[in-house]
Amino acid sequence: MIQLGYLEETTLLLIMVMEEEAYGFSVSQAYFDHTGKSISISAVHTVLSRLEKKGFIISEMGGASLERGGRRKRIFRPTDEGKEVIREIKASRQKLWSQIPNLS
Amino acid sequence: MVSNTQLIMSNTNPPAWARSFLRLFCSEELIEEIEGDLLEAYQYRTKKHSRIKADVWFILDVLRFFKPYSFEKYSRSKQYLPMWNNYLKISLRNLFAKSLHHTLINLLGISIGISTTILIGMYVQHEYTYDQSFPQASQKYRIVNQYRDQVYACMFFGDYFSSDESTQKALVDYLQLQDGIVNACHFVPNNSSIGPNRKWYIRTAEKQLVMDELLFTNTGEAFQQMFPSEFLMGDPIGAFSHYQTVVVSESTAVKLFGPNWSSMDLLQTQIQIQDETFSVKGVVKAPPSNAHFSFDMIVHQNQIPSWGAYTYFEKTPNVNVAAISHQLKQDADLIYPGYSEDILHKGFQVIPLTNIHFTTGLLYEIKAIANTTYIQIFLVVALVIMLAIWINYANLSIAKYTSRQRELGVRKVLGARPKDIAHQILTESTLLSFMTIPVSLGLCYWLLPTLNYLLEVEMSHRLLIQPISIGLLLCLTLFTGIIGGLYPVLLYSGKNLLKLVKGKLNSHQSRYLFKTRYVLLTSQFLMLIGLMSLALIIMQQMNFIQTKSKGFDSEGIVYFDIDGAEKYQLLKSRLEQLPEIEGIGTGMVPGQNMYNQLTYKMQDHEEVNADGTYIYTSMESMELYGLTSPSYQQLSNETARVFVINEVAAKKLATILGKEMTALIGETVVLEPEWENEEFGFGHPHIISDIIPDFDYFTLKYAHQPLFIEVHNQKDTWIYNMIVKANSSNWVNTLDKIEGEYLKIEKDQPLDITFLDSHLQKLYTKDRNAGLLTSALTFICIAISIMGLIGVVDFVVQSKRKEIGIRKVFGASVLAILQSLSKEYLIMVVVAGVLAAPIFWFTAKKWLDGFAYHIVPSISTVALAMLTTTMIIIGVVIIRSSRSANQNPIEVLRYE
Repeated sequence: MIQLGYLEETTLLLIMVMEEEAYGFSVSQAYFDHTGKSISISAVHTVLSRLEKKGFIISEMGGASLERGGRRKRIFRPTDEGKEVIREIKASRQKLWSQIPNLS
Repeated sequence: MVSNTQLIMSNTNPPAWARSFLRLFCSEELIEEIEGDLLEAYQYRTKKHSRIKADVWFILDVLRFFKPYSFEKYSRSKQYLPMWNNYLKISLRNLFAKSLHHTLINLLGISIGISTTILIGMYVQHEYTYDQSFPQASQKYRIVNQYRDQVYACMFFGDYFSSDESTQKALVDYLQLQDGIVNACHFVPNNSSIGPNRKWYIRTAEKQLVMDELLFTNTGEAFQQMFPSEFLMGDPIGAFSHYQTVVVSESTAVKLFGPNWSSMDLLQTQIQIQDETFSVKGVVKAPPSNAHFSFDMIVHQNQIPSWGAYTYFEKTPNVNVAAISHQLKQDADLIYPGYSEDILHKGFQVIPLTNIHFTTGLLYEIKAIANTTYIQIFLVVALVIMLAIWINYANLSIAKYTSRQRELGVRKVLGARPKDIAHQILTESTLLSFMTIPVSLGLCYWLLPTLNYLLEVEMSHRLLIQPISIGLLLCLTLFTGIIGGLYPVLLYSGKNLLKLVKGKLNSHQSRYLFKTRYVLLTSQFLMLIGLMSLALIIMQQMNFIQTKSKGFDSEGIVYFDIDGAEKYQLLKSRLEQLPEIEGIGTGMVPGQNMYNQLTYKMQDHEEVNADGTYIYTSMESMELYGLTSPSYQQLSNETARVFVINEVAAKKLATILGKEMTALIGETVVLEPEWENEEFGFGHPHIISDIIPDFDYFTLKYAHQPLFIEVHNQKDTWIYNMIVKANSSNWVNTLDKIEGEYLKIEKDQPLDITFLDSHLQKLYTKDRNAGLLTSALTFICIAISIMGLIGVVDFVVQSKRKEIGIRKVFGASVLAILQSLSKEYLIMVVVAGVLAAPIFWFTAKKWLDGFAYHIVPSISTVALAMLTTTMIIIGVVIIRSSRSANQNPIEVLRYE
């Protein structure tokens, strides 16, 4: 089973959750909204490229916009493997959750 | 669209430098998304927070991206490796098929420049590593003595010439026993000023040789330990365990015992030096050419045939040399009884071994010391040549690429990134520069013997392949390649492809381009004018020295050593039989280096001067030189000597007396007034018989000194040389006759005959050779500058073709067009000349100050150099642009 780090897992989940386009800056914004902790764009880029290399997300170049100085964005979408791995993680967590004797 | 964006964002833009930095390191694939994200974040933060915060965040973000993730990943660009093949192919095609003559010009220019620089570098290294090849060189020192106003390079022996072995070794023995001193030794080379300075017969059972590179020592063991020679035969310890032994150099072994000496057992052999027998104890490698002494044979005997010796010691690293020096002064009287009572002795000094080659003003130094002016000139020239080469190469490659803009444009259309264009241009320029390596090495190899000859050094070809030379070669070559490509890279790699395909640079850029190149070209002219003036001034000075009146006759005069008055008189009577002999004398030979000076004063006056030079010579020799005086009439069997002085001395003495110079005749001058003796009390009084005109007794490096000449009538016993003047049409024959007669009389000492004229010439050989070398380097510079000029003129003419055409349509003559084309170069020459003049003046003055008699550097020299440069430039401009100027304007103008 492929291991996913905390940051990778969160990022992958965020991409699935996000309704608008998921790209470097928007992911970092979403991360902040969700966790309340800020993350640098460079860190997000690293995580995204790692996820892409593992095959959990794919990307394509999107449109340019004015505030981006005419630069295009790289938009990420989860792949089937990505969805599968999230499901696996959830299942294994669920299994552990259910074994906790008394959760107070 | 793009300009619109910039307009909107113009008031809220992140720091431009941070953005450029990001673009610099970030890979092509990622720059789009990364820069976009950062800009978006920047806009967001400006709105939400403040501009300053956004700026800081932006900079931090850029810095956070500075990591391997964002850098170029070579595996990603799949076309990368195969492209090198293409670059190489295109480069070769361009270099050899398309512009062969351009390539050859560059190839030649670069290899000449690089090899010159390497040779100069080798010479500088040779000079600055003098004596450093000896182990522990930094711990070794020479002891020197100051006597009167002069510092002697050597120490003296307690009883001078008549010292016995233990007196000779007193100083060395003392040093050996000191705490903190590891070792001490002394020696005297035959050819040094204090050595016997003669030729010696060396005899083996089969052969007789004449040698002069002998080195005498009676502290052989210590000498070998301090200045070790590598033994090829024999062993260092056995070699010097007894006296009456010799150790010979490899080349001497070949001369004495033949090329197969190594297969013989030489260690049993006896050889004879004059009439003494020595046993051969070893064959060694000769010392390196950058040691301050040299020898063909070390003679180890109990007494050194001199009045003193060059004396050295080695200290332990933990001892301060000042302490040793201090102790030495304290103990001076132990070594030399009565030293401190003699007021003429001004004390010992110690000189680090490695400084000997750079210590000026030592009397009787063994080898000529480094001429730092020449070293500096050569270093500057090397730099100048390298700069000229780089300027040229850059100029030529810009000129070349202007006609290749379309090619680069098409490459861009096909997807070449700026980087790819840069790679291609750099591949081509470094390829060319690396092709020069074999040529450069070949040139170095070929020119090294000439350089050795001109600079009187012996640098071996092996020095060419030492790591430092090879490293220098590679660095220079690589740097040249990069420099040659750098300017086109900066100019073209980031250029808009449309402009490239159109084949034009916009006016702003071309003006900028011209400005840079004008600066480059002007600096090249500056170097050219400076060097040319320098070469001119050296030539002028050499000419001045040659044509300046010496004040005496030197024509047809030869001289040689002879052993004593008896042989002298015998040979004289025989040679006088020869019809071509005009006169024979003994004593003074002009063209000397400075030797020990003495004190003098007028009798009954207190003022003592210390700059006198005493000469002892025969009346006949004075007449041979044309230095006649009526006072010689007084010489007779009763009056053995008369005393004359030169005008410089007369002026000094006249000032002391406060009288006219002529009033000096008949007055008494006392030489060495501090010398106490039984005959005269103090000093040695002489009555001045006459005043003779000044003549160049010393080389022109020294000003005329006060000369005190004691002229004798040849009846004297102290005679050591013979001066012969002959009026011969066949000198070979005359010399043969002299030698024949000489050999009949003298069996022990070989004839060592010298023409006075060639001796006087030799005094300035080094300076003349340096002048030759500077001229040669100037020619190299001229050649290189012409090459560069051709490139520039071609470029300018090419870009002005239409202008020329239109001018012609309006009635301009060919001459007027050529004039307009060369006008700007003339301005550059004037600017360069003005800048070169002060630099030249200081350098020339520094060099000329080495001569007491010299020409005055004048601006006319620079003007002459400027004129020559101008002629060269006009020549090049006319040749390269006459075709365009003569062209029918229709040909050019119908183009569009």
